[in-house]
Amino acid sequence: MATVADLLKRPDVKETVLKTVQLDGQVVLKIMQHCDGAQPSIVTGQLLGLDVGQTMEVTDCFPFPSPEDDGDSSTNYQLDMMRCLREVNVDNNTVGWYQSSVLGQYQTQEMIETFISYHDSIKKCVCIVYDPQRQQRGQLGLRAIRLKDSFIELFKEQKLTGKDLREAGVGWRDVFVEVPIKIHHSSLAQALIADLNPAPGATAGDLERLSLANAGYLSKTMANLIECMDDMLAEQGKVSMYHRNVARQQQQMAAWLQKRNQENIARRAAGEEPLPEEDPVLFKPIPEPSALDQYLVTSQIAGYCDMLGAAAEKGMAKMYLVQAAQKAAQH
Amino acid sequence: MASRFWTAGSDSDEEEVDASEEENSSSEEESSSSSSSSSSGSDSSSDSDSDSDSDSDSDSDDSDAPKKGAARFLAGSDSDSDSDEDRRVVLKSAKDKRFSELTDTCDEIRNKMKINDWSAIQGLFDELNKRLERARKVSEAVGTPRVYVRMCVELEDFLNDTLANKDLKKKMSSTNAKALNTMRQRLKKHNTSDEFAEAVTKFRENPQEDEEEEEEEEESSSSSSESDTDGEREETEKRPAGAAKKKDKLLTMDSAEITYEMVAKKLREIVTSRGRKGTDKQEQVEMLQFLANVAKGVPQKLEVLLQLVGSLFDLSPGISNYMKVGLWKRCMLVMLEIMDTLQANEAIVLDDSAEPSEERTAEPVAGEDGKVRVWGNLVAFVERLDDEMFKSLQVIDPHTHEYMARLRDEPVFLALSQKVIDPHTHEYMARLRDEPVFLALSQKVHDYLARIGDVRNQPKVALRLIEHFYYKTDAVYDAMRKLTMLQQEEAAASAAAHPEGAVAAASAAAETAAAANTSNEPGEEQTADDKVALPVPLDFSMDESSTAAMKRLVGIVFTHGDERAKARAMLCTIYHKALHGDFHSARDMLLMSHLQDNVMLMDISTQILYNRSMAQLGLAAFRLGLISEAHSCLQELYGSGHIKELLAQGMAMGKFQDKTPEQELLEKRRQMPFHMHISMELLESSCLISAMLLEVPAMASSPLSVKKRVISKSFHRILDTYNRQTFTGPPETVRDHIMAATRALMRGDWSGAYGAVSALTVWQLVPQRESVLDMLKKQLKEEALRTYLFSYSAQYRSLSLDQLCTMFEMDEKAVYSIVSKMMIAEDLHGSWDQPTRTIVMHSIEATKVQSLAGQFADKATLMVELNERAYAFRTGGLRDDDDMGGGGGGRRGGRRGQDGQWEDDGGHGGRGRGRGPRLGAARMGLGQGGQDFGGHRRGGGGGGRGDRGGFRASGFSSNMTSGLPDRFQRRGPYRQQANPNMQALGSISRPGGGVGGGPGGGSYNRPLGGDRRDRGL
Repeated sequence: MATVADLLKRPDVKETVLKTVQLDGQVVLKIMQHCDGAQPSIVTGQLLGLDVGQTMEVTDCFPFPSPEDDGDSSTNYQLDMMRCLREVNVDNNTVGWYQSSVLGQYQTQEMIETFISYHDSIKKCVCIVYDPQRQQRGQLGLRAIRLKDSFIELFKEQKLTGKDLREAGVGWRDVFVEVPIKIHHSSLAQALIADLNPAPGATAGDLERLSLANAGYLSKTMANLIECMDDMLAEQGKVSMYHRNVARQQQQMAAWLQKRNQENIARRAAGEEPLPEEDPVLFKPIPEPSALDQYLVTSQIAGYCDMLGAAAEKGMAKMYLVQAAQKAAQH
Repeated sequence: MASRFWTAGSDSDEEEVDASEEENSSSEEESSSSSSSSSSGSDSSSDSDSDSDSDSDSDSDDSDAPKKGAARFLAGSDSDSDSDEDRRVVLKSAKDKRFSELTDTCDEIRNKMKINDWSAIQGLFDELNKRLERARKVSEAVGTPRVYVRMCVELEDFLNDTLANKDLKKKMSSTNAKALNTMRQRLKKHNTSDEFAEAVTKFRENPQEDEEEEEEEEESSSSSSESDTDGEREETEKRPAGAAKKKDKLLTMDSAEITYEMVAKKLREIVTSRGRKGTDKQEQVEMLQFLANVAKGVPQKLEVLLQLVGSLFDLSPGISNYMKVGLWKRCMLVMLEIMDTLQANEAIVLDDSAEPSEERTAEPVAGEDGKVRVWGNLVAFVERLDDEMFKSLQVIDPHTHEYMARLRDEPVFLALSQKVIDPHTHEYMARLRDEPVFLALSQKVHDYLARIGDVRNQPKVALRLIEHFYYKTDAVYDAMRKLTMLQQEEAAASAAAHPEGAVAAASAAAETAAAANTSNEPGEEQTADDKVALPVPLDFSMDESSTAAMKRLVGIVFTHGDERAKARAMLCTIYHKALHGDFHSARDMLLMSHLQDNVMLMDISTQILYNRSMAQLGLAAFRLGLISEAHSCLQELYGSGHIKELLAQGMAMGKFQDKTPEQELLEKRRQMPFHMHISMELLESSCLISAMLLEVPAMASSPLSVKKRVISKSFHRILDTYNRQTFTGPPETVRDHIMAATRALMRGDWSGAYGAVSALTVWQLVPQRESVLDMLKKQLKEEALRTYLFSYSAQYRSLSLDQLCTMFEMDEKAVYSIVSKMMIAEDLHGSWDQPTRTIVMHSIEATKVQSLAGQFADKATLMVELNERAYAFRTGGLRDDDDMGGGGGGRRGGRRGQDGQWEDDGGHGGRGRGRGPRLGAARMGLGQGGQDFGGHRRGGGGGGRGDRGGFRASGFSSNMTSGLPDRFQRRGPYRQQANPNMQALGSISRPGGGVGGGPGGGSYNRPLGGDRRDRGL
């Protein structure tokens, strides 16, 4: 799948960089079960596994209780769960978390903050984002996401203004990185699957994929896109306001400097000590607005565009297919 | 005790000092005893002290006061000043009591006068006045008690004495001197006030006559002092009396005996006394009247008459009040007389530059050019008369007979003004006759020179005349003309009966009125004056039509008038033309004169006139069925919410604005008299109906986004409130009717809408009622058809032409043209199927996704636009760059505009064009599109700077309409909010839209032109 993110992912030469995320079959099933069951609310869970060189092996997971169930015990729940798992000798090494998303919305500030807090203990933590709708439309709804290291550094230093990001060479594409997913079954499981049934010609997923009705999906995504545009406009407004303020301040500063210059000339003529030309107190630099939101919205928009593009592409293809089928049927 | 020291100091006479010394010592004993006896003695001690300087009898009174405290003001204790015995007499009649109070106070004042204590006198004088009031209440007598009058006279004399004695004045302490000055002013005012003046003079004439029981020696002293002291006031008071005496002498003389010199002298005397205080204006008028009759020679008579007019004006009080009608009429009569005289004697020239005949004793000799110059400014008089008339019309209640009567005077005024102008032309003619030898060319030059003197004033009078004509409809004008003729006939009939002629009769009437005035009280004067009849001069004839009159007069103003006069004349012409239904030429005049550009800089009354013209223009457009033009004319007036103020037809009862009384007064003075009003209801209904006709189809074409483009905000507001009503009763107000019509029209129910609209009562005010209603019916049908097609076309697969014709009762052609127009404008997605006479609908309704995509495209374009602006901001400093970039931007903008149209569903694009005509002018100025865009970019760059707001806004808007006709309209409101100047600009360009398309152009031809231009970009 040629997504924008895929195309722009640059292979990192560093040895420790994560190349793939290997998911166990049972993890996938568990995530799907949890997220599908909880629709349409968004749920999260813990990923457990091992970090093996360039691969992150996720061998197990468990769901977090949703906050509305019981808010107070959730903090302890994680620890208890870990202890229990250790007792039954399951991998209890946290490697990240998973969460469900609605129509591919995941680029949020909270997401980044969670990443940062995980990053303190687990350098290579990943987040599996599962999109149930996408899955229903016959596509794999799983994505492995992580933050780019350069961005993490910047974020930790809170250098998030446009200028900082520009200097660091971090574009909006350099915030989230999608890591390829590999699904791995143990040999036994593979054997079992092979043994269970002869593989059917077309699965239910295949049939779903042939559905022609995608207007709802498109319009929903479109609406989301429009919302994002609104956010973007708001961000733009912030920036232009900042520019205006800066310009005004510069004008004021210039006026002040001129006045001070004249004053100094007068003072010099009178034989007095000239006043300092710099006055740091009077003109505080206006704080530049954070560019993070712009980045997030932009990447969100890019995500939507990818989705729309893919959906449209597939829709077209299906249309041609149907046309051909109809022609074939007529003749 | 300080008071004692200064009283001692202020006294100049040795004996008096001694006396006061003695008295002081005695009073000190008393006051000390009183202070020891009562606690309240201390605070009243100073007061009692200053009093105690004078007499022993008042002394006892004052020293008693503290002891009595509150009881002091009781009836019994009040009358106890003279002696102890008096104090005990409690049982007096109320009248006597008050009277004795007065006497006591007078005595006290006399005492104070002796010691020159002015501050005390001042206080006592106040008290005296108060007591007088009380005494009057009790006794119910109108006259003033003699005691009081005598006191006044004494005080005055004493005052004059004191003032004359410089030494004494110098020695006075500052407080005392101050009190003296206050007293002098107050007394002057008091004694000259008409209430007392009479009594005072009477007293002075006969001081000995006494009804008082006590005769004091002061009496004689006061009378003696009267004889030797001669105050200023007295002199002025005596003047009228002297004049009266002289008049008597003159009156008794045989008119043959009266010489020129005598009259001139008398006249001069009156002129010099004019304007002075205390001059009896009434008497002056009378005298002048007499002088006019006996004057020797025409020039002198004119002089006298001119003075008489001036004095008559003097009779009317200040600027805020209007001249009494009778007075005004008398003025008119005199003016007419002057005019007649002038006409009869062509050699006399009135000229305000000629020196007033100061020292002339002999009859003025004719100048070398055969003219006699007499000083006088007729124009000023005419203007004053006009102003007075205007004021009186403002004040008089329009619903009374009086108002009607007042209006009837108007032709007379017109006649007068007419005549004022006439001399000029007359003279002109005379000169023409005089010099038949000269060639035509030289004649013209010569006459021009001869007339130079007149050029200055002629337009003024012409403007006044215009301002009387411009608001008159043909019917009114004709009625006025007939009335004039009728009056003339009557006058002619009476003139035939009485050989002396109408004017003489009139002047005789005026004289009798004047005689009545002088002999009687003011109350009767009123009635007598009202009876003065104003005959219309026989030689006055009005032009056949008001249009001709206007044309002639405006011509005069345009050739000779100053800027303001020209502007006013122009506005009046516009109004007049609009009133007579000549909308197009009125509009052209308005636009060509560029009055909108600078009307804001003019004076308020011109602005009001401008507003009136605008309103009348809108009404004219409405009558002609030019709905969008009417709407753009009226909307600004109506939408402002201050329409009454704008037209000066009533005061705004604003809750939130507190006006100072001065402001209110000023505003009151600006009000239009009732007969000049433009009917508010008619304005409202015209405005709302045109808004309805424009707005309803627009709303129907975009049912989902009503807010998107608002043609008339006020209409929307009213509609919203109407829709929110829980219960809608049968329509009552104009708004109700129109809202009911709107409801019907939204369903495409034209007959219901017509029923609601035609039920309005205001149509009775429209002269061409039938044609207007027909026009309305036609418009309503058309708009109903459009609305119907907008709203329900999606429900049809095909629509029969015949069915549409029957539904809307329109002929085939009209339906065909409307539907075709809608198809061309892509408002209606369908096509004609000629053989079956049906419209076949192509239902290409946008799906959800499509409309969403459209929205998204909107947003994206907006963002790109903002980005471009941000970019321009970055590089804004470089002008060269900017202009280049601007061109590119313009091209880009144009392309995007088209893209937008493609992406939009048809409705959007269609409406975008439908809006075209309103902003036509803005588009017209778009020959240099790129340049404009550059302007916009620059403007955008300077977003923070307010100084270039106007320019920016205009550049921006024109760009908007050209490059991106549709989607940016939504941002209109922002734009207007951001820049109030925009509104003004918009309003100016709006009527221009009509011109741009040419008067004949339908509202659908122009947008195509605009569109083409878009593509050209």
